[in-house]
Amino acid sequence: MTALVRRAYGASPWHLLLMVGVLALVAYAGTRLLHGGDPWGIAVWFVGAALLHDLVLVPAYTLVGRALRLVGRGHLVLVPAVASGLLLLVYLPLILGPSHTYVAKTGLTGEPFAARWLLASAALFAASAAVGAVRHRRARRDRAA
Amino acid sequence: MGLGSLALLLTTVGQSLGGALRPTAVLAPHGRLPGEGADGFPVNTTAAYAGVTEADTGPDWRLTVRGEGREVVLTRRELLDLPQHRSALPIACVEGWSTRNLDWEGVRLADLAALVGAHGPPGVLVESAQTSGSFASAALRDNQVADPRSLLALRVDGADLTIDHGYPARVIVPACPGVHNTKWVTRLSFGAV
Repeated sequence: MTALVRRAYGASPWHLLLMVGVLALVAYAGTRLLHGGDPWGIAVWFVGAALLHDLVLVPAYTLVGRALRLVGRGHLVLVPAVASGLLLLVYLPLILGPSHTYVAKTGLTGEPFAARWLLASAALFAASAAVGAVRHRRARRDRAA
Repeated sequence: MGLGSLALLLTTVGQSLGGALRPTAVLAPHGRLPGEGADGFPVNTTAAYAGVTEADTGPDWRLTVRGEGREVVLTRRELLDLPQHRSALPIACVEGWSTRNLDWEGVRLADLAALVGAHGPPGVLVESAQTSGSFASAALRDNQVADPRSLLALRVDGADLTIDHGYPARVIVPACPGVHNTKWVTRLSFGAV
């Protein structure tokens, strides 16, 4: 049965189950959005996000990953860079400086986000550097022994 | 993917865990407190943005309570003279932020229902003085009205509400999205939903 699904579908049945679940969730969210009107806008965002991911993001992070692997010790740079980049992407509007609406609506300045993102990024790279230093020392000790 | 989820979790989970870990949610929206005391927790919408003015909330403010064919109009002083109850509840906003448990003080919604003879009690339609924003009114179900923790709050953390937090009176109900806890309440219609 497993082999049959794998031959027909190209991956394990668990993968198929997960994909069906995820697509059902997306479809449910999509129908909820339709209550707000503007079905074209929703379609553009759904299809646009898939295209952007497959045509721009996948090649971009594949290339970056390959390049870093050529340099060596790729994960030590890649891991904090990806985490920091994702935080930047999610909180971009607040990090760039909040909109007039944010300031008027919340009564807050929205000012700490840029500094906090920089500190979080610094902490990520520092942790990665610490891991690298420990690994380096251990490798040298092993060579000496 | 797992790494990204972990990074987002670690920068926001502090607000959900609460206690000493609350300040670790460095990137949660509304990450800074607007002031101290009764102003020491964030708001979704300020009074100015909601179109609520000093005139709406000044001495001329009245609360209309409607029930089964009965209507009572109360001043803030009259509300303060009704039995006051306390309730420790957070504000949890769908925007992705929440507060610690705040010490609310006010009149139970169930007591206000009884005042106009709405027994059961039934659900209530809560209307606000706010003129803009999507939640100028909200409907609460009968079980939310009956909960002894559900208040029409007049004070928080030992001080009068500030105008941004809904002065003269706001609703606070357990386990309810922040936006359904209507601020600047002007009318409670029991049985109208």
